[in-house]
Amino acid sequence: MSVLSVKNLEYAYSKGTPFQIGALKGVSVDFNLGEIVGVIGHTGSGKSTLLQHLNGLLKPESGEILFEDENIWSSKESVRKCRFGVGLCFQYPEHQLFESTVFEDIAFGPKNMGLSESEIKERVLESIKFVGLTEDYLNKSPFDLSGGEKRRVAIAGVISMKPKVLVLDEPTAGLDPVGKNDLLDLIKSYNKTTNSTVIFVSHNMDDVALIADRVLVLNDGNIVMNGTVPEVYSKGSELLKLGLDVPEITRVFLKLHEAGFDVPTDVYTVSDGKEKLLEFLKRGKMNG
Amino acid sequence: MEKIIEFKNVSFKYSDEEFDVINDLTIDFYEGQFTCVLGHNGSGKSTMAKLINAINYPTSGKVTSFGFDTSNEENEIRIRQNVGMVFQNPDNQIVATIVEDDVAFGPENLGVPPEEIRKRVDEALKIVDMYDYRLHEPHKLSGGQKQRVAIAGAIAMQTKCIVLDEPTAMLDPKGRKEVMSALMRLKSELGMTIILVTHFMDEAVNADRVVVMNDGVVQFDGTPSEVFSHTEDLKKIGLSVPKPLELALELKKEGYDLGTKILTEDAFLEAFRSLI
Amino acid sequence: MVKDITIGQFFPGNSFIHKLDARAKILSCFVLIIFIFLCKNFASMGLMCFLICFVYALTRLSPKLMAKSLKPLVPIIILTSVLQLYYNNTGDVLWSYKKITITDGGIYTAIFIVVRIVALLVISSVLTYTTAPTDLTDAIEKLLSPLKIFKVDIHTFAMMMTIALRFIPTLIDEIDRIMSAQKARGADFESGNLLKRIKALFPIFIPLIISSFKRAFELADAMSCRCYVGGKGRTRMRKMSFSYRDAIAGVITVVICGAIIFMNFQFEALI
Repeated sequence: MSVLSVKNLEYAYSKGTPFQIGALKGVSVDFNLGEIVGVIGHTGSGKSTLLQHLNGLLKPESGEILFEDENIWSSKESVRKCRFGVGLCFQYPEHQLFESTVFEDIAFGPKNMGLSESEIKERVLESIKFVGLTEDYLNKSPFDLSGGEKRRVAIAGVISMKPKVLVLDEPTAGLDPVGKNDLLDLIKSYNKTTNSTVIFVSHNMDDVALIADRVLVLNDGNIVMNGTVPEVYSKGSELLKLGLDVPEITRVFLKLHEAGFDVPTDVYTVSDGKEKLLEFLKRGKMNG
Repeated sequence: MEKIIEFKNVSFKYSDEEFDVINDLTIDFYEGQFTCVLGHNGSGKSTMAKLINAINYPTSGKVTSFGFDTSNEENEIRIRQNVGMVFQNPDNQIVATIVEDDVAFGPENLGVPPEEIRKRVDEALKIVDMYDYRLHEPHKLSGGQKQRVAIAGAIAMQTKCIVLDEPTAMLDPKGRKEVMSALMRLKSELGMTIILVTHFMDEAVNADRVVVMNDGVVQFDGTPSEVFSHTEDLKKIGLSVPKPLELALELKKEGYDLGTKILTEDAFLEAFRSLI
Repeated sequence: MVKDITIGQFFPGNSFIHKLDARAKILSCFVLIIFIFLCKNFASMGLMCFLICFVYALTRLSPKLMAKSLKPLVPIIILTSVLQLYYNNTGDVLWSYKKITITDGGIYTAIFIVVRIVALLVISSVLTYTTAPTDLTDAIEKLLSPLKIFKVDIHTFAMMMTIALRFIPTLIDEIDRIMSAQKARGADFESGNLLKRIKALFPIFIPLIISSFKRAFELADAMSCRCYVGGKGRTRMRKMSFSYRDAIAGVITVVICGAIIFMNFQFEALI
């Protein structure tokens, strides 16, 4: 079931100037309830512009955004509904922390929604758990936390609005491999427990392969690929042409394939790669 | 090779923290080497970088850069003339409103004559491939371009060594590639000593030497293929290894030995060919 | 959007005006601004306008660019001229209704004032359009350097100006980003009474102040890593030197100013 859909969305920054970067040129896409969608594309491909349309921060020049089958720009109430229904977490969200305690900061969204004290408290407790921090953190100042912890608190501040769709712009930027994997696990389990839709932008194809059900590839303001992870990653050479990185393992298989070895090219994890190569090697023995 | 930076039993503690970030560290860096320092966030790798050019002073022990004790304040300028530094956030290290003026900032501070500055600035910008942007405003550049301007700023000071503290952490893949190829040119064309602090494994692949930091001490130190052969240990301290190597090691378990020097996909192809 | 604000815009070029020494430009701009105020009638103002148009043409920048920067100021210009029409009742009455009287003198002064404002804006824009911010600050540093004998630290002042100019666009981007992020959490900056609106700014300004301090500390580290210890012993890459062009510009400025004084005496003063 589609919860959020984008229809023929067009948008240009500073029209007519050479700064027309990150424009959208007629994007249509549906997001279904409960799925995790990875969005990839290089800087200036329009992915940030797309994200800011999803919760009504930017108004389309033409085309429409439907949230639960309602055009989000049809009335003031529907924009507001979409703001809270589609939670957008910007890149480096820890830079937006401002309250004196972690509790207050996570409560900022629910407060703006006009919820009751008890409901706010309940949501804060729930959110801090989702991001893998204990309740001890709630009375600390957000500015005393480590970088990774700040990031989690900031994400909790969006989750606390209980959005049906959670949109994250490069949630793992700047984290080390462990921090990165932990955060991706949290996103995955949040998605499983709440059955909410998660849309996340990443430069890292390995991250996308790890948790996404579906992948969107943006290039020059258009969606050029839209499919499951194996579907998109099997087009490794096309991705490379678009100036995107492909997972390291895929690159190995592309290299082997190019060199004339009969191996598949839709491989993107080490374990799968090992299996495919063993298969190939055994076949070689049989033929030889 | 000549020893240019020397850490002797160095410990370091931030005044507002309880524990040592750097713990009795003894390590040397050599002239002309490209060393990559790896470690997870909080492993002490950035702190170590800042000890090299006297932004941090050791709480105990001694750091010597180009023969100068970093704890002696009088040596500060002489050390920084030899060791340039590039930081993580590209926005917060560019001073001037025009690219070439920013590159000129260091030499100007050193009192270099104007004609000489002009020459150095042009050369530095050419090496990092930013010469065409010399009259641009920094805030209109991409992250990768800004970092290359910062690198040019160090080159123009004619430092012998450049320390980069996670210069690619905030960049997209394209920016990361630009910065890495600029660094490779510094090494091949200028023979500069490079110390790159990072948590991206793939950046360590082309280094001469890889140092892995954990909890303020050196855990591994050797060539990339030596260090990365400790796959399991590296994973335990929160680092990954290049995927081609991981795949090769998995195949080795099944009886297909591709060797341990498989750091890139090209190396993998080579080894795979000779296996068959 | 906050982003539309442009301060200290500079358009690189190779024209006669671009090549003038920044000190010469600042000085002549300063003199011309004074003389714009000294113009007393249409004859002298006309001459001044002719000079300014000529100077603008010399920059080889598009007139559209100038028109674009003037656009946001149109309301202010209109307001000033309307006030002139209302308050200045000299000369023949042309039209009158209740308390409002419009006279030909009023119309002349209104037009004169509009021309004066536009002239001021164009001449100062010529300065910022054609002079790199660094040159501008360098020139100010040089021009003010005699103040050093009064123990005024001109170098630090100029360095502060450079850094401010460098970081204004960065901070504008940052405000934009923080505002969007807080809006995404339901923050409302557009409704409510004054107190509520002021309170609504906390979620923007606290993160902005924190990040500005962080930037400042990092920048300070980066600057000292590049051996910055203040103005002492510093050289500059760009050498400022007066050339024949600056002499020409100087002579033209002096001649025009002389002509304006002459015309002020020759013709009747309007203002």
